[in-house]
Amino acid sequence: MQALIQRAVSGDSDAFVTLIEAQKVTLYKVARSYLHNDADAADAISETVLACFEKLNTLRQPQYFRTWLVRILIHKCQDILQERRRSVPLEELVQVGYTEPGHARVEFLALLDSLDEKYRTVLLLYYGEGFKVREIAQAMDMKEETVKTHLKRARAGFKLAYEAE
Amino acid sequence: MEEQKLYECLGQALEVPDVVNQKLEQTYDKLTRRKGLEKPHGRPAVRTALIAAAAIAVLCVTATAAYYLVRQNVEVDMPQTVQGLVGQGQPSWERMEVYDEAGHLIYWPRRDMAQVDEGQAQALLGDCLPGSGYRWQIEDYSFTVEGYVLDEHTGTAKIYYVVERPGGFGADAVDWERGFLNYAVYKLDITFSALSDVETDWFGSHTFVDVSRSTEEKLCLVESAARDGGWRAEDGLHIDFTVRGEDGEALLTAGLELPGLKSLPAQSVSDPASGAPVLELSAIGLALKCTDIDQVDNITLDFADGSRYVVQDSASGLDNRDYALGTGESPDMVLQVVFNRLVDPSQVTAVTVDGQRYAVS
Repeated sequence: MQALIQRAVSGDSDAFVTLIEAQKVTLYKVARSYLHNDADAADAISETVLACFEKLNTLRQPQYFRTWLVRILIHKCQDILQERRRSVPLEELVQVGYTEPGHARVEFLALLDSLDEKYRTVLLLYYGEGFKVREIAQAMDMKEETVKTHLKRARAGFKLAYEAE
Repeated sequence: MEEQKLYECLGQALEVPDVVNQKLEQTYDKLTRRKGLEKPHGRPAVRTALIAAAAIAVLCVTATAAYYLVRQNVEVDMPQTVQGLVGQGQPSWERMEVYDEAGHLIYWPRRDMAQVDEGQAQALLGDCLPGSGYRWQIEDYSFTVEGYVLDEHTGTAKIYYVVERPGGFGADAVDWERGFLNYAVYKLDITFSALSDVETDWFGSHTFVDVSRSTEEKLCLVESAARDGGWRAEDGLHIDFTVRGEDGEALLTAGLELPGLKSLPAQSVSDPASGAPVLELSAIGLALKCTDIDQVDNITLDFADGSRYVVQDSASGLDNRDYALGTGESPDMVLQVVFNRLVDPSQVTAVTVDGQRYAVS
């Protein structure tokens, strides 16, 4: 990946696209942990890719590319959430370009919805994407202790919901 | 059991919906069209500037092909930078003479730093500062030149720059008490040279740490430099940014450039006996003609308000020079001195060198 990043920094568009495509599923999952529909997730991912392209040369440690990318995405998702709260009531949102989701996506989204919004992304990054606590802390601008607390509470909350089914 | 469920469900591969794929394709097209990037045909494309006023530098990495760095213009807190340039954040200390465990003498002359008057600093340096800071990203180092002033008359310069690196620069890389770098630990080698076409272009210099702004991962440094030879401020500076290994070998070298600036003005002072110019005096330094630089023990500036700046006094163990460079051969030598404070040349009434007084008109 470091070689890809170096090539992307020096203007190799293929390398840049390859980098992003490799992270696409992660980006989608994280975006959906914040946003309520695929259209907003698509917007957040698009804006993240643009920002990443502009700022790639500021990435200090290429081995943390994924953490850095997710961090940008989270900020974009939060911006969109704020904008949505200001402008459009949630129930009026229309899914554009909606297609029938596959079973995996249905199950994934259902599980996400069942999780407390506050802990959703932390759980996703930890269990779904294999981020370490430190990486989650960096991506979400949190202290490591806070991440651990969120994980603990989220697990407890999930356990209750899971046992109730 | 429930944790296993989280792993399985959250970690499974998903099909990304069409709306996301379509949006991404549009984004890739936008990037390629807007920036004029070409698909590579067996060699890397040179990146066009994404930010205003970028300049290309070459980074040479051993065992890999060279690639290009882009200089970014960045906003800086210029008043803060100016204060840092002229000594804010650097400590004073008393004269010290001790012997270490090996019996070696460790000697520190006394150093007195002066208060920085922000308004005076802006008035004296403002016109001669760059319009912005300049930043490069070199591997995991972020290198920002926040401000610099060049004086082609005295041949002196001051550069304020910041180096950041996650994880820092090594334990004990900085002597925080005195604001010095410990080069046994600190492995960066940042040297400056003039871009003018002169015989000797590299600057001699000394680096001080602005301890008031620096942290373990972010070093704010002041380079006090001098070079004779007739270089010109308008030509700008070249920087060699080198990362060294444990044995001092260069692991990575980047060649960077800073734009030229308007030179600080200087006052010319003549020998009263001969009428010949003997020294140049500016806000940051002086250049003194002398028969032997090693024989110069005392330099003092007297000001119109009756105050005095003792630049150096060997007899009392006082050294208020940020850096000194001697060039030439006796009896025609030049001593260039970078002050450890800002001087208003219009307020200097006399420069006294080893008892010889030179009136400043």
